[in-house]
Amino acid sequence: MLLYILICLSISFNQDSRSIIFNTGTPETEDGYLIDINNSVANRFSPTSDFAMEAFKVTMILESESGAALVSIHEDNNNQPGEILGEWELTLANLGLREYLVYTFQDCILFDENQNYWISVRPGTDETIATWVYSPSIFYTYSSSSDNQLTWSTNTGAAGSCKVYAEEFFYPEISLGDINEDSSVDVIDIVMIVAYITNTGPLLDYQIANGDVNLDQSLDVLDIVQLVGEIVNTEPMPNFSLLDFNPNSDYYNQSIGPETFSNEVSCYYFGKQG
Amino acid sequence: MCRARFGILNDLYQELLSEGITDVKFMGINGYQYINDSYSCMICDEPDECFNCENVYEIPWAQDLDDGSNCLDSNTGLCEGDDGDGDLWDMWDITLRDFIILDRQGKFVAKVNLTYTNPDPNSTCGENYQEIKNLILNAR
Repeated sequence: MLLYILICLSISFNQDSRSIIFNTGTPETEDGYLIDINNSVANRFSPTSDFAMEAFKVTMILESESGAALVSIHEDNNNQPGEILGEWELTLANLGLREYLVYTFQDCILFDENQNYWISVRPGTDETIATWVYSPSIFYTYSSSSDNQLTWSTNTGAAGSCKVYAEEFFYPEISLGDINEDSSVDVIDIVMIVAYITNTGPLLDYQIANGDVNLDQSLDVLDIVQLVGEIVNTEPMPNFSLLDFNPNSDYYNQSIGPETFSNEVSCYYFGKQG
Repeated sequence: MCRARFGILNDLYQELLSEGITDVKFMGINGYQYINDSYSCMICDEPDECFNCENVYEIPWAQDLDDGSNCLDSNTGLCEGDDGDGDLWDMWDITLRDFIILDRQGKFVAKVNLTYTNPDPNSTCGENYQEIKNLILNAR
């Protein structure tokens, strides 16, 4: 069981390395920000796309005999930590400098592209005294509070060492002609355009723009003609045939490919075994 | 956090079947450069032997080749055997972990790269999983 967890964590870390959206780097000293009943600190970060938070790591040293930390993600409020979006309690261990990992994906913390957010650390108990170890770089925007996060003071300097992991949201591309935004240009889109032209079905402005496939700033019969041509003239993907060697598959030991699945929707994943 | 893309697609396939959707088929293709790696943990034919396998996968799993057999007739010029690259990956211009959806006529509908788009229903609050499922359903 332990081996399973270690391997799983190892793979998770490898996968997570693709989705670190904030990384202050490996600490070079054991100095850092004091976290106690009065003092807490937050780092500012700005996701470059729309993400859902997956996990975070913070590097801390417990200075008191026992203690806990509360790590929070905040919205931005005029360049200071604002409303808390999520909060997690860490039990700190008396093991010197240590990196704490918490998975957060079940909490659905969402980040909007290019918005500022803050990750803060404050004590989880009145007795807790800890150090949030400095980042190597001193060019981060951080905010400190000496009244248990009632007020904040924002500065530039070292951050508290941490990583924030997230996964990017997938938004299907909407192509010209895709009026109903189902990622497919088909007869339904043509029916909608016809309805618009004949004043029997309204379209929203962005749908009108999507339907203007010849880009003449007008949605009319010429767009329908071009769209029909595109639909009719689109060739199927090149066929292939490969042997299925999954003994649990219905097609085991058969040579299969797109033509095997004619008149069905077919999906192909191109992966890496091993 | 510890789930293989192919396993998630297998779950999606099973979910569609459980919803009575039997006209959607899945297939996985191993890259030619990975031909010598074991496929056992990819298809989970012996789940107990692989840490990331909960159950056997029922999606077909095939091996891309470089023998030119898929580069003949109407595919002439689209790929070439013995050039060091997998024929199908050349022909379809594939990047590792691409997921491609074709409609009933075999026409291209969508390509999603699952390296950058995590389809795990436990990730992105399940939204990426649902978007991919919607793409498939809309292709019907």
